[in-house]
Amino acid sequence: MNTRTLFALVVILAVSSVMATVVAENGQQQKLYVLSSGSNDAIIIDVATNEIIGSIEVGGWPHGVAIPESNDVVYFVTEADNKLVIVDPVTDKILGKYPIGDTPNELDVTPDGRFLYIPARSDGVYEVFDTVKKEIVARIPTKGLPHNAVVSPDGRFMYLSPQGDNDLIYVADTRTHTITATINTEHGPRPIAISPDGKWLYVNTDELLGFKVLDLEKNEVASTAYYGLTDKEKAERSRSHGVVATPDGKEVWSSDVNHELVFVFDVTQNPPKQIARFENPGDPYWLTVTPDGKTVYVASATDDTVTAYDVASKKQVAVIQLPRGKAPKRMQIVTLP
Amino acid sequence: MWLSRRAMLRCSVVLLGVTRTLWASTALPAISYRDLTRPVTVPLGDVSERWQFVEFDAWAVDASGGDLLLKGVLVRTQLADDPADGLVAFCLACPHEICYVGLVEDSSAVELDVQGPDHPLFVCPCHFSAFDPCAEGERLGGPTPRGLFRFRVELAGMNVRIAQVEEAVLQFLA
Repeated sequence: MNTRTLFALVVILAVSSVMATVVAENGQQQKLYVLSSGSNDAIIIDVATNEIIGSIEVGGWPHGVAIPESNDVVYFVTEADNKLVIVDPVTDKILGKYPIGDTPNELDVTPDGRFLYIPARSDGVYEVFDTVKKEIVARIPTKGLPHNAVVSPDGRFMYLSPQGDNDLIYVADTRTHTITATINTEHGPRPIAISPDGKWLYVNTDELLGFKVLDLEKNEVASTAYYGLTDKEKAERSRSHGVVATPDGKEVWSSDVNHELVFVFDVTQNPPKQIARFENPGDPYWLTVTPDGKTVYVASATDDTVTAYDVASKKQVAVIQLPRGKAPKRMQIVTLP
Repeated sequence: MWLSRRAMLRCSVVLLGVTRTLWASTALPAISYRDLTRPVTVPLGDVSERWQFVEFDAWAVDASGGDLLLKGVLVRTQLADDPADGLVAFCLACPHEICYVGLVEDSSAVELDVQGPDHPLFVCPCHFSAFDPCAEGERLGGPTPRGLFRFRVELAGMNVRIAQVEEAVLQFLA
């Protein structure tokens, strides 16, 4: 190694060190938690580098993750042992475990962090867990199999999306923990996402390659977005199982599992207009987006990968290979305080 | 009238045979197959080793008359004197929610309803339904309501010819 190379290396190391310090001092480090649906842990990825930096053993088959606005805690639910697991995102240590209903799935938390809505699939109810009292304070029965929940940005409503023998989105009032409305989606609702202004709910459903746009002021379906597919792709049956809205409210990204495609729609118009599609490595499933809206992450359980896409350039920027057998699905990003 | 011990034994054997035949006819209904739009051909040499497999595209017409693209897999589950023995083909679409199954060598992490066989299984990545390739793709665990849909496999010279698929899949994916 000559002197010039050595000097360059020293400079690079010094700059990296300073950058790392700046990130830490500004408290802006972000972690992506990826749930291993086929295992008992959550893989932790550094959003700045897209590198795996650790994992947390939370319990058998983690099947839901939620983070309040404060970003000071992460809630996991585990399907195999029916537990709510509370984790400190700074240390990634478990702060507590609480028994909950049978087969808990994708939960959400009110922005103030007070209430968790936890779908207990085998019990046919959504459980409301009070994070101050550390107990379940309400159980809301629905049709079908309780599976997903998404909170409105102002925290007033929780949108419940049970799968199976059910065509309804349930609207729950988070002050009374009661259902105040339902919205018929015609086919069983699957993953859902809400617009940042709280006016629109985007819903994957059974029998639809695309998503429905629900008007949350009228509580009705406003339009349907269909994936642009070739004739050959149309002849191959598939399903939509992942949807996320960018923080600026302009785009919705959604997955097409068997065709291994990810679609991007402009949702400033109704019906939404497709503006991009990507071939994803492996079958894409759940998606999430960074709080700054710069990166969308797509999990593939078939390939044990998480793929990062740059939202502005619409380009794939990283394919993160997880250990085999993790079957990654749900993801959330925490911004460390 | 009293029957001799030998007559009793003979009656029992006959009754057992009749019962078994009746049980077989009700519990194992004949599988109905339908022709593919065109047969799929795979060189026999591509599946000469145990657990070698080949994925293929097969076209059919679904129950509502539309074109249907079926992703399939041909796999050799055993080696035998007759090269046709041990060749099976299944639709990759899981009968639960049509995610594509994959052949998994180590299925120890998959929860099964029965003691897991000591050979690779087909496992669905979405909800972990598991299927036994050595037993006609039957369900071993998970939320799937049934086993994998099957293709009919036959030898044609040095090729494997797949010309028919289980009729039920054409209804299921219509």
